[in-house]
This record gives sequence, structure tokens and C-alpha cells, in this order.
Amino acid sequence: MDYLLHILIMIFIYAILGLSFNLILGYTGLIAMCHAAFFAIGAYTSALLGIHFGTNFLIGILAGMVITGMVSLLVAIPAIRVRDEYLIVTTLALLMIVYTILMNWIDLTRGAAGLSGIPRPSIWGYQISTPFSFVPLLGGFAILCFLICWRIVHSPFGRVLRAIREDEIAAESLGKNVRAFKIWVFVAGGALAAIAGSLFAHYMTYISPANFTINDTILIFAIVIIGGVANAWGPVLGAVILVSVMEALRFLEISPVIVGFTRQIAYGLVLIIFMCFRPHGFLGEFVTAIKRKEEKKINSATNAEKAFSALSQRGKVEELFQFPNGSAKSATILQLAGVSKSFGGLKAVNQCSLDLQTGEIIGLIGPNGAGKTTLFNVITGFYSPDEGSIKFAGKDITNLPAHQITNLGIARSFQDLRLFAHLTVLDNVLVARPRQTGESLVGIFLHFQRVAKEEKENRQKAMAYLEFVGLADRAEELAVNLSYAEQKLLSLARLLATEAQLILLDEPASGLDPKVMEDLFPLVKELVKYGKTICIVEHNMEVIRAMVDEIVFLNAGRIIARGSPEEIMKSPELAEIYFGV
Amino acid sequence: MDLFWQLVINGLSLGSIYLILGISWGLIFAVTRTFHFAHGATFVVAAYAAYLGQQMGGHLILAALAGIIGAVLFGLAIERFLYRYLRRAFATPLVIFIAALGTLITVENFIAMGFGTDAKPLEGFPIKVIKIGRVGFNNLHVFMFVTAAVLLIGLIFYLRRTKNGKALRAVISNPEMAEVLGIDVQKYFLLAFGIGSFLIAPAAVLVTIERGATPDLGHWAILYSFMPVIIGGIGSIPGAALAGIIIGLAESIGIWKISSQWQLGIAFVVLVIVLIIKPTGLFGFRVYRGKI
Repeated sequence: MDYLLHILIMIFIYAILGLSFNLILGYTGLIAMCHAAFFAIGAYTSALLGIHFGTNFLIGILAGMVITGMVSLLVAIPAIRVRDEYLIVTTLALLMIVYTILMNWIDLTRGAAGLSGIPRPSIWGYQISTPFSFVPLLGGFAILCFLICWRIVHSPFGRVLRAIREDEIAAESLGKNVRAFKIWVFVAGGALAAIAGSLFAHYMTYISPANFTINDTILIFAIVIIGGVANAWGPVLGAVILVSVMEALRFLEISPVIVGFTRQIAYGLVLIIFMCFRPHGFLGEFVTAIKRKEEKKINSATNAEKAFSALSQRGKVEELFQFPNGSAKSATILQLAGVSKSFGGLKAVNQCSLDLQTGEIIGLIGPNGAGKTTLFNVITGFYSPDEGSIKFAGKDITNLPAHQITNLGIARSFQDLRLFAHLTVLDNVLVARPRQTGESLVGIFLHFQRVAKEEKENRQKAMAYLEFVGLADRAEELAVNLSYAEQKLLSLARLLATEAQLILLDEPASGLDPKVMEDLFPLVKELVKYGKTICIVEHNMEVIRAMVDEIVFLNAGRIIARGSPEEIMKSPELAEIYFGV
Repeated sequence: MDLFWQLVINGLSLGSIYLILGISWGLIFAVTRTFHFAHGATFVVAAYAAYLGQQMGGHLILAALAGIIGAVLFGLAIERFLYRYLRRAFATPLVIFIAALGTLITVENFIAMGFGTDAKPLEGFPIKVIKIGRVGFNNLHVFMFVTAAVLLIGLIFYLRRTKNGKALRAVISNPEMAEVLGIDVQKYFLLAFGIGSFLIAPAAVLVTIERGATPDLGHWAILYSFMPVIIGGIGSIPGAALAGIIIGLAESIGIWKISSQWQLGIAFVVLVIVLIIKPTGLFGFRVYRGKI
């Protein structure tokens, strides 16, 4: 009986490890090799405090979380700054360094001999020592961790994590500080793993470096992979399966050494086989779709409305795009002064100076390679200019990071759309909503009501944007399942949902059929009434002629002409440049 | 001062191993963008193939040859049967990475099961101690350095002067464009895995001669394969080579003041410093945050 309880307790501990790792790997798509190291730091911190100072295990757990959090922060900051592969390397190195420290800092850790005599936990003077009394304690912690993870992934914070996993550039372009999100989720995952470590130490009363090798990281990988990547229940299922199998192997009559190898080989093969045939594990991410049934009802109600053409929804438009001070017409909103950007020897943007007035619609045209998209990338902060300055609404934004620029009020679309393919249509738009309290970890755990209220409003708003582009009935579909034209409309809805004042559209018309364009573009054109300013890169001259007030003609990185569509289109020199000789 | 030069020589020989690891993995990563974690498995396969070759009565040179053949066959097989299959299934980099991780663990433990975990030496290298003043080193150190230099120069020559090498460089700089120009990208992926696996084999053999082969050398090897590439800058073969030597020197000279158990810590500090000061690596020309 005690043996079965022991298995249950181990399942709890590994479930916590799996749940915390799922945040990092499953939801955010970060590959970290050091989960066993976080487990170790939690275990050793709590154990050492218990042995030397007789600290209560709850304080030990907290201390373990704090120290693990600090270590993970130290690793994450330099690694996450650049690209995700760096994290694999630094975390693998961290894992090996922690192991080295455990083995070699004999005075503190007693090296390979390990720490023994770790005190059993006690609560209110009641000593917990039998497996029977450990079950509720560890079960309680496992449930707590499950709830914490559940809250994180089902909050706006979790939505941004999944968006980052799908396309981090798009997430950045919607005003999300991608690096900060990654760092916080990494730290949160590490701190949760430390809880498992502390509990493990106080339950086993003996720990040694052998408990925290790369093999344990692999086990945690396997737990998440088998159970189901990015599924809240996945790691629980994974822990049940793997811990049971691990214990069952003990009953085979082979030497323990061979069992160890067999187990590792089994984990390795499981990883390979799952990746080849079932990369999302037993429970994929979208099992959760069942819970969305209730929202379906809202959709069918809006379905009827959708029968109207988008045009008939002027009232809706007014509601969506209220502009606080509609008087700002003709104030300069964007000011480029002598902006240049080179790649190697190529001057992609060369000494561009450009003023945009509030309420204007500008068409940016020019032959392929003229630097139009590069100019967008420079304005929105994806490239920082080599020289020159950019001012938006009187504020210098020249070297601000992209997400800050979006939050100030400039949003852009991408030629290749960059939708979050495996998020629903509705979630794609919801991610774009600005200033969500639920996008900070503090927010989701301290301001329950405010988050719920905002979320409700944002859902309504998001549905309204989807109605605006005529996609309301597809709200629960995954973005990847939409047709190209629908995806294009979704990218527009997502862009508008940022509430940016200055909108940069990169080839909005390509791939749309004429009927949709006729319906939609007059509406887009109307947006200027509500204080929006629009800059369009487009090759379709019909669209340009119909939409814009002024054309800016770009060639070889330079602005060579600016004027009304008629003037520009009449000019034979420009036509020659545009169409080639 | 003698101690210093002693440590420099040790560092150069250690750095030579890192250099080989770095350029072999760096080539594969630059060409295929596959985070080839199973490169560590290739390393262990090479070491044990060489060991097996010697046990079956082969001369050291034949054993080394067995190691090279084993490594190349293994590397090609992984690319042909695992990675290519996954890429066809539109696997994300994460999926490919985890499959590679599984491969490394499986191979390491199969070898541990078959050969045990004690160090398996390669014998027959005629070690001679060379003394210059009071600085002593042996011809194995020299041989490591020469091997690394030959492999590096050979690789650079191959990439710059041969038709296949130029095609590889085309794939490195722009895989889509290379495909449009009629370069069979799949074929060159296979070639990169062949060359990368060929390159790592000498490092495995040399390490086995110096300290014997153990199954867990696989993840040691993979860690020291990435570090030079990241410190040197992704996509730059000379960068990886230089970074390998720098790590070797830093670790070796570090021993002057710090106990040798903390070598890895020194390498890690170098890595973090480079990431903070120059995130693209010493010779990195692009920051890959995905194409905008």
C-alpha cells in the first residue's frame, strides 16, 4: 500500500515539473534544457535550510523559488535577447554547471555523497512523515500548481505566449514586449519547478546530484511530449504514464544498471517516435476546443447580422473607431528627417524625408526593391535607421523598440500576413487589443475582476472588428483554416484592433477579389474621419487611385516625387521608372 | 611564466578539439538550419567505432578510419531517415530538436549498455614528451593542433574552390534562392551532414586517445559544438574556429587560478559575456530573429 502511495507522490512531483515545463516548452515554444537544474536548486535550497537552520519547509519552498527565479533570470536575460537557439546552449550549460557545483562544492553540498537527514515537513506542529500524510500535502501542491498554470495559460498572458510561439515578429508588431514575456514565463516555470524540488527533498529526506542529471531533463521533456504539448492536462497524463512505467520496470528481473539504461533508451525512443508520428502527444492542444461551445452561440446570433454587407454597418464603425479629438486634422503626425538604412553596400532607404498629416491617406509606390517595405520596417522599429530621425506625434521614436512604437500608435500589416496560424480567428484579434491588465503575471493573479471585465469588453470589441471585415461567423476557426482572402481580412481586423492612429498597410489588395475590395476599401477610406492616418504600399493602381490623397514615389531608396495621383500617373519619367523601359 | 606557456599550449590543444567540434556542427547548422543535437551521438559513435576497430585487431590508423566511416554513415542516416522525414511532414524546429535529443539519449544509452560506462582507451599512439626550456608537452598535443588546422583549411578550401563547396555556400546564404537556381537543396543537406560528420570523427578519435571514450561524452561534445558557433557567430566557419581556440585558452588559463573542475563555468562566462557585448557573435553578420 505504501508503495502505491509512493508512486502517487512521485506522480504529483513529476506532474508539477511537467506542468511548469509545459509553460516554457508547450505554450511559448522555448527550448530549455535546464529544468532538472531548477528542480535541483529548489531541492538543495530547501534541504540546506532545513538541515542547518531547521527552517520550516514552507519557507524553504519560498526560498527555493526565489533563488531559482534569480538564476533563471540571469540565464534568460542574455540568452533570450537574441534568438531562441541561444537559450538551448545557455540552459544546457547551466544544467551541467549546476551538476558540477553539486558534485564539487563539497563543503556545501557534500558532493556525490548527497545530503541526508533532511527534516520531514511539519505544519502547525504536526509532523508529516508517513506516505499517507504526504499524499494530501503533495496532492495539494500539485493542484495548486495546476491551477496556477491553468490561470496563466487561459489568461490574456497565455494568449500572448501562444501568439509568440506562432509568430514572434507579429506579436512584437502588435505591441507585445516579446522578450519580457519570454523571460517572465521562463522565470515562472523555473520557480514552479523549484516547488517540486523542495517537496521532493523533504519527502525523500535524501538527495544527491544523481537525482538531477540531464536524464531528468529528458524525463521532463518526455512527460510533456507524451501527455500533450500545450494542453493543460497533458503533463498530468504524461506523469501518470511515465512514473508508472518507470516503477513497473523495477519488477523486471534485470540488474538495476541495465534498467537505468533501458529506461533512458525508452525515453529516447518515445521522443523520436512521438515526434515522427504524433508531435502533439496524446492530448493535442485543441482538445480544449470543447469548452468553446458556449461562444458558438454568440456567433450564430451575429451570423444573421452578417447577412448585411459590411457597408450597412456604418453605425458599428462609429462605435469602433471613436476618436477623442476629431479636430486634429492637418497636424503633422509622422515626420521622417533624412532617414537612411543600408544592408551591407545596399542603401535600401536613402535620405528619406517625409511628413504625414493626420487624416491623410498616402500611397507609397515604386518599382520592386525601391525600399517601400524597408521604410515600413524602419518606421515601425523593426530596423533601426543608420541615420536620420523619426518623430511620431511630436515624440522622437527613432530608436524605440517595435512594440513600444506600436503602443504609441503606429501599426503595420505584413505582406505575408504573419497571422497566428494555430490560434482561433477571435484570439488573433484579441491578442492585438492594447493595454490589457491580464497581460502581466501580477495582473492575472491580483486583479481577477478587472481582468475578467476587460476580457469581456475586449471580446465584444474583437467580435465587432471581425464583423467589420465580415469574418464574425468564422471566429472559432483556427486562422490556418481560413482561405487566403479571409486571412487577409483577418490581418486587417487584427491591425485595426490595436487602435493605432497611424496604419501602415503593406499590399492590402493583393489576393483579394474585386467584390471584397469594393466593399471594404471605402470603409477603410472612411477611417480617416475618425482620426486615423493611413499609408499604403500597393501595386494595384486602381486601388491607389481610388483610395489615396497623395502619392509618394520611391525609387532606389529615395523619395523622388510626391503629388496627387493624377500628377504622378501622368508623369512619363515616373511611368518609365515604374514599368521599366 | 613557464606555467603560463604551459597553460597556453594545453589551451591550444584543448581549443583544437573545440575548433573541430565547432566547425563540424557549424557547417551543418549553417546549411540545413537543423539544430542537430544528435551530433553528440555521432561523436560517441565515432569514438566507439574506433575502439571496436582496435579491439578487432586493427592498427590505430585503421581504427581511426573505422571511426570516420562510422560517423559519416551515422550522420547521413540521421539526415536521410529522420530529419528529412520530419521536414517533409512540415515539422517545426522544435519537433526536429526533440527528435534529435531523443536520438542522442537513445544512442548514448545503447552504447552504455553494450560497452559499460568505464572509459575505453585507444592505444598505440607513440606519445613522446617534448620539452622546450621547462615547458613540457607531448606530440599528441601537436597532432591535435595540426589536425584541427588541416581540417579547417581543408574545409575553407572546399567551400571556396570546389563546385560542391560553392553550392553549399549558396545554400547557406539563401536556401530558397538556391532552390530556384536549380540547386538540389536536399542533396546538399545530405552533403553537409556527410562533411560535418566526417569532421567530428577526428575529434572523437583524439579525445578517445587522450582520455578514453565514455558514453556520456555525447552531451559534452554537443555543448562544446554549439558554444564556438554561437560565440563565433552563426554562419561563420572562421568565427567558430577562432571561438573554439578562445574557449580552449580561457579554460586552460583559467586553471591557473581556479580548480579544473570549474572549466565549464569559465566557458559559460565567456559565452555570456559575448552574448551581452555582441549578441551576433564575434563574426556574426545577421541577427536571425526570423525574416521580417
